[in-house]
Amino acid sequence: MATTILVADDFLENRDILCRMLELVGYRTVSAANGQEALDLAQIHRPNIILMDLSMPVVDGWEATARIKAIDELRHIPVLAVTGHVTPHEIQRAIEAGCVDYIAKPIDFERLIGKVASLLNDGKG
Amino acid sequence: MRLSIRTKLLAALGVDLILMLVLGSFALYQMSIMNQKADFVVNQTILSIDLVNAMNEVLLNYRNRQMEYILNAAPADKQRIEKELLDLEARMEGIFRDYGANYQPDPTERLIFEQAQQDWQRYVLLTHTQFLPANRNSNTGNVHPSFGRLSPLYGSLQQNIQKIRTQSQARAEAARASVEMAYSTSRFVIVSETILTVFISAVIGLTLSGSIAWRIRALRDATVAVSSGDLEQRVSLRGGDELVLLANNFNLMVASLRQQRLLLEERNAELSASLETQRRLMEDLVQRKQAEEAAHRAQAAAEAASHAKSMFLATISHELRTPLNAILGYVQLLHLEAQMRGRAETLPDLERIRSAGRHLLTIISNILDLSKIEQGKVNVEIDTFNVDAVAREVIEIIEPLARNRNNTLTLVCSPDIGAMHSDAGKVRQILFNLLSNAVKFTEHGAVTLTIERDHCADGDWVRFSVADTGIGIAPEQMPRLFQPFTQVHQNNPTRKYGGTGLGLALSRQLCRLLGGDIAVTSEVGRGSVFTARLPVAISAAHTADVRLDFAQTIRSAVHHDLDHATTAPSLHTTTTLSA
Repeated sequence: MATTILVADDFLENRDILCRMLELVGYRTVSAANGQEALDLAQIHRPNIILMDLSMPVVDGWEATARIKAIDELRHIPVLAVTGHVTPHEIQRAIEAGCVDYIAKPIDFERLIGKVASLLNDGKG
Repeated sequence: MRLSIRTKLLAALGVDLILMLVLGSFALYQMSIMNQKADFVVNQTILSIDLVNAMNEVLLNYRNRQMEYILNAAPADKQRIEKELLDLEARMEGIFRDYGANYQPDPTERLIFEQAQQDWQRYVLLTHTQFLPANRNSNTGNVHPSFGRLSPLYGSLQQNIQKIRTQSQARAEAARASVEMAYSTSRFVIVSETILTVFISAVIGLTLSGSIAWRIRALRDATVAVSSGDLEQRVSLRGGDELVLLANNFNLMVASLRQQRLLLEERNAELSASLETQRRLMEDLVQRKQAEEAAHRAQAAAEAASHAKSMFLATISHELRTPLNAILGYVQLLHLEAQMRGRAETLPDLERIRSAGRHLLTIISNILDLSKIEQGKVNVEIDTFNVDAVAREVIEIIEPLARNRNNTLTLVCSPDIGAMHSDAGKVRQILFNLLSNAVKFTEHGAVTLTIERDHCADGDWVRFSVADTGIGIAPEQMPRLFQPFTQVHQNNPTRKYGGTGLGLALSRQLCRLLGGDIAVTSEVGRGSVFTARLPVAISAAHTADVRLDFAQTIRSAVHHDLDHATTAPSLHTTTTLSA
């Protein structure tokens, strides 16, 4: 089964770019427009990795991550935070919510692929 | 006359007293004379007249008794009359004795008196020797011739007594005349002397008082003049009394007043000058105050405007980043697809779009950073980091750019450079800005980053020098070098270098934020050396307002990502992907 990546971002273009890039290199993607959708879709699709934008309406990235980590079936899924505001405070909050790592916007695709690959390898390992 | 008023008054009084004494003593003398005369009249004249009267009376009685003796025939009567005659003789003797004892008559009168006395004694003798014996036994009543013989004696006696009387009366008259004379003389003298005294006193008093009054008036006139403000007054009085002393003192006082007024006028002039100065100072002060207030208002307005600008820039920058990120993302996607699908002809154009987009993103990021610094919203995150490692990271990012422009990029780092206690992210940003500038303005040249330690009196420093062999900067461009939005080469015909000039402005701000500064030396056509000098350990004063962050483990990574994200030009995904 193809590796599935859940992309959560309230900004349509960002979601689109991320999904299409990931699909270009062979991943299956699922996209969510807010934290609540991300939570719902994660339970349905059980993705291998979640790319979580932190600033989102309804339920934000930190809240969604915390909730995912609270669900036994989803707890093992690594969550990679995506953020435009790279401040230590935000990153600290993300780490505390359960994010395993983060990547700054604008996303450098090469770095993103590198991180995704290493997370998948860790999961397999 | 140099005498005091007191002396003069006393002298006048003395003269008056002397005159009055003379007058008094003269009057006294005249009175005593009159008294003497009156005494004389009382003691001599009246006595003399009394004696004369008594002698006359005794003589008359004696004669009458003789007559009675003749007429009375009875022997008893004759014996009684004889006895009476004896009594009268004794009485006459007493009168004569009195006369001699109490009365000092003049020689003429004495002679008459003695004559009268002798006559009386002969008369008595004749009476006793002839008259009485002849008539004692006669009782006829006939007058005996012996009586007749007594008659001349009797007449002489009467005559003499009358003479004495006349004399006494004359003397009394003379005494009266003398008293009257004395009275009229003394009246004249007293009256005239009184008039003289009054006249002399009046002359002295009028003279003295006139002189005093005249001089007092002179003084009064002077005081009136002085009180109405004329201090040129001078009183000159002759003499040597108190008034002259007073006038002299008055003159001294006026002179002193004049001097005081002069001083006062001087002081007044000084005071008004000082007041004028003060007023001018006050005006200056008010003007300066107003100017200051205007300046304050202008500054406040400028600050408000600057703040508004910073706010605006921050908001705009943030808003610009989101769509720009999308553009960059799609370009990257297209680039990737073109590579994968073998459409190589589109690759250069996509690369240009991507490059321009990244450039725009850098500008926006710089604007955002600058406005954050200007608003004081930048946090300095202090950590201990390896200087060499940070430098290598930046070199790694710059390397491809340098290669693109055929530049050699060299890092010279002394082995003992060690660690810094500062904000690694900002150091990285500074180095990146300086190096990318150096690379941008240099072609077919060399860019060298030299890092050294600097041990100074004011602490330990790390000196980052970025030297290039590029186009250099003209001296006249130097002052504007670190101003935002001024690229010194904008008028250069070779306007082929991108950028806004924000990099240097931001780098300088960052250096200052970290307690250091940036300097430059340059030569047109030969190249430039930018030197950032930062303290090895940021001072407490700089960290005071810095919020220390606890996420130290991830900070380095954050900045790495940030810098990488905003600057990394690489696009070598294919190799990774194919791997």
